[in-house]
Amino acid sequence: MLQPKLERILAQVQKPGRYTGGELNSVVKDKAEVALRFAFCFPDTYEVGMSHLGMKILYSLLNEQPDIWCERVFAPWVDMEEQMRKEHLPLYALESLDPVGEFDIIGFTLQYELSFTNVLNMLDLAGVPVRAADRDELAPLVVAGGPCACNPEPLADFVDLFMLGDGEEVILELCDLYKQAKAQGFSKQVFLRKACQIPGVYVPSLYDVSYKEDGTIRAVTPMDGAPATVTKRIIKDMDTVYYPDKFVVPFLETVHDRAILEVMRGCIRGCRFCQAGFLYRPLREKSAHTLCSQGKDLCESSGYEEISLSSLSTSDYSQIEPMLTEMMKYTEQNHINMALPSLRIDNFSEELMEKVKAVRKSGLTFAPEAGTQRMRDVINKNINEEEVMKSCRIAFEGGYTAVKLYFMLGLPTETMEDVAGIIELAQRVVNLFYSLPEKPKGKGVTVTVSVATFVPKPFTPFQWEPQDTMEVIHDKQRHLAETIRTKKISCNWHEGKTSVLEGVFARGDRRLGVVMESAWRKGCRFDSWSETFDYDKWMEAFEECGVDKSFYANRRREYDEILPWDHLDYGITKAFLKRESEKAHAAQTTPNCRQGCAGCGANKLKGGPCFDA
Amino acid sequence: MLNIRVVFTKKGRAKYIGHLDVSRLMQRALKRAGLPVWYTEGFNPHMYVTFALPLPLGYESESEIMDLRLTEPIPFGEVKDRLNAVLPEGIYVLSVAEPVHKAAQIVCADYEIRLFPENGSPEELLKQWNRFTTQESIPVVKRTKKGPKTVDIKPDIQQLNATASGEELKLTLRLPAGLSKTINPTLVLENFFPFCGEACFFTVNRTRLYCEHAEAFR
Repeated sequence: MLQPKLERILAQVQKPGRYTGGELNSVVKDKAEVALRFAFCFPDTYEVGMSHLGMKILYSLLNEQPDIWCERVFAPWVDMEEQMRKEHLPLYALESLDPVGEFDIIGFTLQYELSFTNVLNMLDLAGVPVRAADRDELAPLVVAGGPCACNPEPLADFVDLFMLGDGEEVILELCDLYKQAKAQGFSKQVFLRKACQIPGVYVPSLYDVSYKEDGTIRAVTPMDGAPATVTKRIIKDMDTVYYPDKFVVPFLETVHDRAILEVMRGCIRGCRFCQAGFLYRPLREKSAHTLCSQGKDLCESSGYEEISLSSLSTSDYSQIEPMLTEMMKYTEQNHINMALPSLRIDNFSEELMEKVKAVRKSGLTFAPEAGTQRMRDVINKNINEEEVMKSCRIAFEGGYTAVKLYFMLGLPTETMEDVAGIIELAQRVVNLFYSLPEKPKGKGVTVTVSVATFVPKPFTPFQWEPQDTMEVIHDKQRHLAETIRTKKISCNWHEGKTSVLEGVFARGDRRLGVVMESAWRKGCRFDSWSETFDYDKWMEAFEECGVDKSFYANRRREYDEILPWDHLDYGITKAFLKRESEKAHAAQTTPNCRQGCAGCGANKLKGGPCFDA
Repeated sequence: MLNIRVVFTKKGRAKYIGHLDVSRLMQRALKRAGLPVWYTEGFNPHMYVTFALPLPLGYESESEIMDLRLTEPIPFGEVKDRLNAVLPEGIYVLSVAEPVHKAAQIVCADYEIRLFPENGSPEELLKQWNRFTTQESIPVVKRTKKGPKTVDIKPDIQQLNATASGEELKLTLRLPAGLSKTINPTLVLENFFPFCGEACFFTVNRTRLYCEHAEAFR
């Protein structure tokens, strides 16, 4: 039974099912029987967080440990927050409904920069001081992981420690140390000094950052025996690593509500704009057999009617055809739909498409990312127009009449010709459709062009690049719209303001902590949601803190500048990124990892070459 | 092919699950239970499951109805047990049987309503309630397809019980519920609150469904 106060609040809010817990496969333990309580926080709504695979893996993994109880916490939507603050109901976890402030460890997953203010807001709603320095006791310890931990500096003031890379091993090592600390009564300081010795654990308070007069970093100095560089963790063998056989099945419709199979980690492509493509190196695959048995287990325990494959560039998975063939035997018999996202154009074979189509026909999406060949060479998206056209032809002849094309705007070296090239490419896809004798009868074609704004990210060859200013992006968007000559093409893009903020925080340093706190105190949270994003408040915060956003977003960095994330090691070397940056400016491509090793350095994490020669 | 009717509860946390979400949840439960449910044949085959009389979000119920077809006969007791083994907290199958009536035959339902006054006492609230229900008429504004319309709901309210005890006022009402006319307890209370001058927190539990002449819906 829920407590009466919560019942009353739930009668006042939209989608109360977000806040009640009690879903199938959620784990309830006796708190008196466990040694450690972990509040796993996703700093966005329930619907977004419940779609996230990493949380499902770590939630189940932690709960497999008999002496740990891990619970889920999501950011309450603004209507719920208002009621909680009014009624003095602190943020609670969904399994026990106990206040988050009572937990041993509060862990956040950092999936995107625009969720950072939600981290602060959730801590505050839990009644926990947002600044790490204001939390003297060991509990609650505030930790974080996820892709944005690769440059955690903007959050350094708030989070006690970060875990870099794959979480499955390091999170258990950290919990072990915590249990020991609790039993032996370590102070928080003693605990942090020991924690920083665990590989992959970064304790920002143990590093002193000094700055030059021009605002760039002079030095990052480790203290109290902290390692000079922290290297991310990887799981070497994907077939033996823990994977849940159950997912918590939400009552509400979430963004992705289905069985998810992680087919591999890493990506062989090396697209120069793509942070994930570098962060998750080296490539590690699961066997087809492992995937089929995991898919079957998940469907049987959840009742899901859909399985999706999750990874970067799924069609590069070397066992994709045998895996799909075996999996389809099970899915077809059991009325289960197989969804294949993120397919690259160049290996979209007719055979593969038949398999996708056999179950359910959905829209087709391709990501050429740039409109001209020169631009695609710059970003190392190694596909040419012929391949795009071939894929579209196969799709049209197979009965498809709608194609969605993804592009980026604001790429390094981009000219107005490259911008117009986006629409010209879409136009040639339209023309192709009408030129085909085999096209679907009596139907028109729709080509949707979706244009994202490029944001330079750490650990990519573009980490030194200036981001286009909002004015330039607006000019380019206008040019896009003016180039369209037909109603068969519909073009959509996002307003550039969120990209500015994303760009600042992606490559930010510790001096942004005050800005973030100030903006949050002004009411900023849910910055990735258009209905709550408040650009003006952010600009006020930058102004009041005397911080220049263009220093972070629009400045070209020198190759020899110390970057805020240089003391973190994701395997790939700075020398490799510099080589790739220089090749980008020369519009030279780099072959994918299977065609030849480009020497990125990530294979040192594996202790050997990525592929058998 | 065997038509079956499943009667189930929606209690506790489960009362916050919306109608469409219950439908999806049940389809998944049927799948987990491994029951031979009949799928529609067509371009997009889907499980053929229907629900009678959607319950407003936030109401509890002991009278939720799900109709479906099995492709091979399974003892009713086994269907019930297999479903209960895989259903989440608050959703519990009470009975499985062959349907007697059609869902369209439902005309009214019983509701147990608990009101928790914050300022006055339950006894005081009961007096107000008695004044409210003994008025000449109870005109309320109902939204209809042709715009708002004022109707007298007094003839529609059948009071089966009203007791003040402890912190709460407990009402048991029989109200029209069905295809041709529905008056749900929220509508009644939304008109009672301005009348008595206090809007209080309340809970609703739908206990039974009836066809014409108070014949229990089966």
